[in-house]
Amino acid sequence: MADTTVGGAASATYVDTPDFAERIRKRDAQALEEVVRRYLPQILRAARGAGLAPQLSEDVAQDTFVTFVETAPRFEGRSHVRTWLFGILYKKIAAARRNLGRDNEMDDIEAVFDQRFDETGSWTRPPRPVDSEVYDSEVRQGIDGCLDRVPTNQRMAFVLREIEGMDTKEICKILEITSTNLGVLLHRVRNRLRECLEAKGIEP
Amino acid sequence: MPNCKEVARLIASDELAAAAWSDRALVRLHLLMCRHCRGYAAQLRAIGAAARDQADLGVVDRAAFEQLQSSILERCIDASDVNVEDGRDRDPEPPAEQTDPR
Repeated sequence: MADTTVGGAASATYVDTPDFAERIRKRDAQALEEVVRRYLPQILRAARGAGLAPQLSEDVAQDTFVTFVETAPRFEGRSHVRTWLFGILYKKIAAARRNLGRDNEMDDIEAVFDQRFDETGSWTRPPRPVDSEVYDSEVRQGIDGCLDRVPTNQRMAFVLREIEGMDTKEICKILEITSTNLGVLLHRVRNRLRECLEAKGIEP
Repeated sequence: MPNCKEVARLIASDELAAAAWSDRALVRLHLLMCRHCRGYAAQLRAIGAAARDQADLGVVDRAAFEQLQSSILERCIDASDVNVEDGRDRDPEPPAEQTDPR
């Protein structure tokens, strides 16, 4: 039966076989090349999605693969190659964003979310139903600026889930967090984006 | 029956899939009856879709990509092929299997 989970995700292929893990550990040139060719587009897209400028994204992607090769002898094949790679990428992105001063900004979104409901848990200002393509295109235009103000871990969780379509288990491994933590991150980033768009006057 | 706040949190955190089937059924029932929460879920879906669209637009052009890929391959293969015959880049750490006979 075909994989029907959202985004398909884990995509276990021959690069995830024990044989291939062994070739990676031995830094077999062909195996490494295969990994680069296979995952560079995704790594690059995720770096861009995490808010790095084009040149910085390319540098971070390059660094990610260099670290991958350096640490290859320690690859035990217990996780997918992709999970290992994205774990490296996440650390590079976090470092790059720290340098840009974009990390760990004040996050009051939980309080904002709480204010959306009365004491019985009903909406105080209900979301309107989405029924227009105008809304979709406005969201597309507005979302970039809104993502800029999101802390790195939340942003990365959002990118891996929504853009890369990974399953929650793999994302937890990459970010080294529990599924409860991931739930909190996704909840915060999605509500932050929604609030940000609304503050820009983008509503259905 | 969960209230709107609980439903919104379950949707936004992606924790619905991992919830017990009885909870999932109650959330589904809530969504059937509550257009506000349906609107909220649709907004989050639109936000995800917009992010996907933006990401696909942000892809670098073909030539730049090829250049980056060859540069990475060069560096990676350099780092891996430390034992090739020309021997100009000897690995500072000898491979593990060449143990020092002592």
